[in-house]
Amino acid sequence: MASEKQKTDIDEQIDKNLRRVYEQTSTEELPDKFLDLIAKLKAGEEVPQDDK
Amino acid sequence: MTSDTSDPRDEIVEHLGSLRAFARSLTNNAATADDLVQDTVVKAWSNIDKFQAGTNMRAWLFTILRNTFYSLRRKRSREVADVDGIMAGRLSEKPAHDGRLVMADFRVAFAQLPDEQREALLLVGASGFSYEEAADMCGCAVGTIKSRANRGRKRLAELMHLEEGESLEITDSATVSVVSGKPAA
Repeated sequence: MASEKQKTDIDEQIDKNLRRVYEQTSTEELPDKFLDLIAKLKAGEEVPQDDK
Repeated sequence: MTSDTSDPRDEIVEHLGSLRAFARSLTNNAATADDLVQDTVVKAWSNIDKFQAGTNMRAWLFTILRNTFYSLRRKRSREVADVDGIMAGRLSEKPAHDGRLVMADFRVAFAQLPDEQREALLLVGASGFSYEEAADMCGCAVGTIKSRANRGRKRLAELMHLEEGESLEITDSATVSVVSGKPAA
């Protein structure tokens, strides 16, 4: 009984945690390599892919 | 060669953070995730003519990232994923009333979900895409995304709960607090 409401509450809590995890990562400071990459692309330099 | 004043490529940089978050949740590995983001940026840059002005740039980038991830993974099919210790992590044994602990448990539990459930939850639960947008990005039906997200939520609730050795039925406030990260009343 009342499980529908509880289920919804749980889902909301889960989504809240999901957003927190996502925000933590997405607001981390970007490593320089990304800005370097963008700068290279802008300058029209060849950027090899899968060169690891 | 047009000399448009607004190059859509200038917008790519604004989405790097989101792309990293998405990549991290797909790969469970920070280094692999960043490689994936780099590949995505390079691809997006050189295929910018395929981006339709006025559509959602973030969705377009996420789609590229996702396709890159799956095609790389197919290539390396049976290679064992190097996971940043997330999979190796363990859920704490008692319901934690410490928000940070709960968060760590949540990450561990999330990492254990099947890829497609993790992806669906990340897209609709975390990054705020609609089910329709997510379905479009994943190339599947809206109902499929919904059911993946629902199964993922259910599994997460189970994973966060099972360690207590209780039934799956979530009935008490202490249990809710495990999931919510808030102390029980």
